[in-house]
Amino acid sequence: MACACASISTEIGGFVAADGRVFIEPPKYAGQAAGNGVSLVTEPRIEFKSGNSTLTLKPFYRLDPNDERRSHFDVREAKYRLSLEHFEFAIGSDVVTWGVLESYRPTDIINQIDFVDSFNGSAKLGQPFVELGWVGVASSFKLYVLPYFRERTFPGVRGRLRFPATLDVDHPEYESPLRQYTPSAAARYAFNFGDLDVGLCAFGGVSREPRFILELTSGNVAPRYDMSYQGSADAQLTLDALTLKAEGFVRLWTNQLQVFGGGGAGLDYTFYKVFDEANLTFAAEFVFDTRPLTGPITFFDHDAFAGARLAFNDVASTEINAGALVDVVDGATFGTIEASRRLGDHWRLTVTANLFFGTPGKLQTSFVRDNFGQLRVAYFF
Amino acid sequence: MNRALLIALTVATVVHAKSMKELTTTGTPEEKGLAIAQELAARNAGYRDLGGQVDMVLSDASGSEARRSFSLKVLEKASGTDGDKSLIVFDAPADVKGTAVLSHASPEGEDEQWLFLPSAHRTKRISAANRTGAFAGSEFSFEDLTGNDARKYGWKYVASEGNIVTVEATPRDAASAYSKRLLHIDATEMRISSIDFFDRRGEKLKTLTYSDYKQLNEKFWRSHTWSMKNLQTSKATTIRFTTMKLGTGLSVADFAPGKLGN
Repeated sequence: MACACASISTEIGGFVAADGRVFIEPPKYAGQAAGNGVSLVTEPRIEFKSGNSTLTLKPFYRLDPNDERRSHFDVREAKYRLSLEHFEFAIGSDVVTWGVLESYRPTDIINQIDFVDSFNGSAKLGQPFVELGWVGVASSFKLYVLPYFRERTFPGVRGRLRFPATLDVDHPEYESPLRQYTPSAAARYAFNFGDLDVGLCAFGGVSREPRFILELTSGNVAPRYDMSYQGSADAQLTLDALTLKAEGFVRLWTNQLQVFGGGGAGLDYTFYKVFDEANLTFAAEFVFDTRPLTGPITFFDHDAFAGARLAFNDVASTEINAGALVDVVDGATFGTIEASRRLGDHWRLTVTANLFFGTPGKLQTSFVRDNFGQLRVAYFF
Repeated sequence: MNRALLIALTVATVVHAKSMKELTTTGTPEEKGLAIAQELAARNAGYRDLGGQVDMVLSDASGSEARRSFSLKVLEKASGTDGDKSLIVFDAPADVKGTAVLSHASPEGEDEQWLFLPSAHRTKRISAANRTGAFAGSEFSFEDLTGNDARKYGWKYVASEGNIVTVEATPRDAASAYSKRLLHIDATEMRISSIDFFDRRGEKLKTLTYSDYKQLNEKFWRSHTWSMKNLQTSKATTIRFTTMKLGTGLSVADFAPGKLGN
């Protein structure tokens, strides 16, 4: 759908989808609903373009039958961009992704996670920003000013895939007295040299990862957002069938500047044309994090990932992905199998199975009874 | 071939466009084949850049069809050691709308390729090793779409029949899907009318027919309809340019990986 009306071109896209979920076991915690049912989600996108200027709007809405907190609205993108030959300027709200790993990207920090929408962190809330950029052929520099902080979303009492305590998201704590109006800033310099792509990044501002604080007056558990200052690097070496990847960060946490680091490395290897036009890729990654026990909890402290992807490269773009992320110390495991294909020109079906294994008692294993299957029927326009 | 010689050759061919008769009267079949290939390249050179909108129809033996559409931008190589740069942005099917593939071709080494996935807000460097793989599920491979650099082949004149001259192109790349390509050239305007692709066993695999030629910018003959038929599977793909413009003023910055998604 394109229209060229008086030099302004309009592009409309996006999708509306029904996500049917079935949980195999009854829930673990008091107050949780069974969680089975159909949730409706839409993410339309409209773009106006005129000369060097682009205006983009991408709202998001999910209606969930079980958890009122999972029924939520967000503005994933709402931005004006001026794109000159080597100069970029943008203002509004957007999603910016850093990092090269497939299973989990430790250096990715600009956007807050929409945890209630997707437990695996793949959904992000739109981040208000101003971007100034210089883009060359083999290198680019981008500076982001992030004037407003987005709080992480969490499931409500009735929601599945939650922690034992539901979080008092209405009363978050901040280290900074400016609270969510505390500005953050970020910068990325990226360059490529032959087969090698490198990114060097810096971030300073409000930590996207909360700690969980027990409020003695109310007995509630509230998220607390400390200050955080981070330098990071990512690199990818793309050879023929083999790709090598690594990323890592050093973080100064809170105004006491406690130091910790984290990162990961991995490789993937593709076998081309295993049958017809199908390509089979195997991936192996390891991620680690040295944060203190008092720091924000991470699932990815010492975890190994193994995954496989079969891309049929057929008319329906059929794909099958399978992967498991295993804590190498306690064996806690997240496993996913996903298959998807297009139907006609506008529909896409995606079947997913998510499995959790682990010994109860750790926060990481809160989801141990939340094994679920999902069928997404999506219409793209 | 050193760069100065190549530039001298290019200048010479710009000054004097050779006729097919001049190219096929003297020399060994290899010399004649190379001369024809260089003349084809010289006549296409100097267009600077291309901007176009493409509809692609995929069909199988049972007649069922699938559609793709994308915009295409190409920046002509700036020098003899450089390769073309291209950017494809999909409009349809709707679930891949906004997906972009950026390629920096290299006549000597491996091409560089980046993929922008709008759903993941991510630009990924991808391997260009799978040059023989299908492009968007079609009968065109990446090799078919980007492998037109004359330097990537050994050339041989085969025959002339009426107005059609046939030359054989043997890929230098051992990873090519083909043992050879036969180019059938209309001698009047030096336009390729069709190409036969032979697989590694020497069997004829596909035929690509170029039609709907239009002269752009009063100089460059460009086919607006490319029909690829797979003779072994009876599948076919037609690429049709709904618009094609040359010399639109694109710059190398339009092909920067840092601009993907903007």
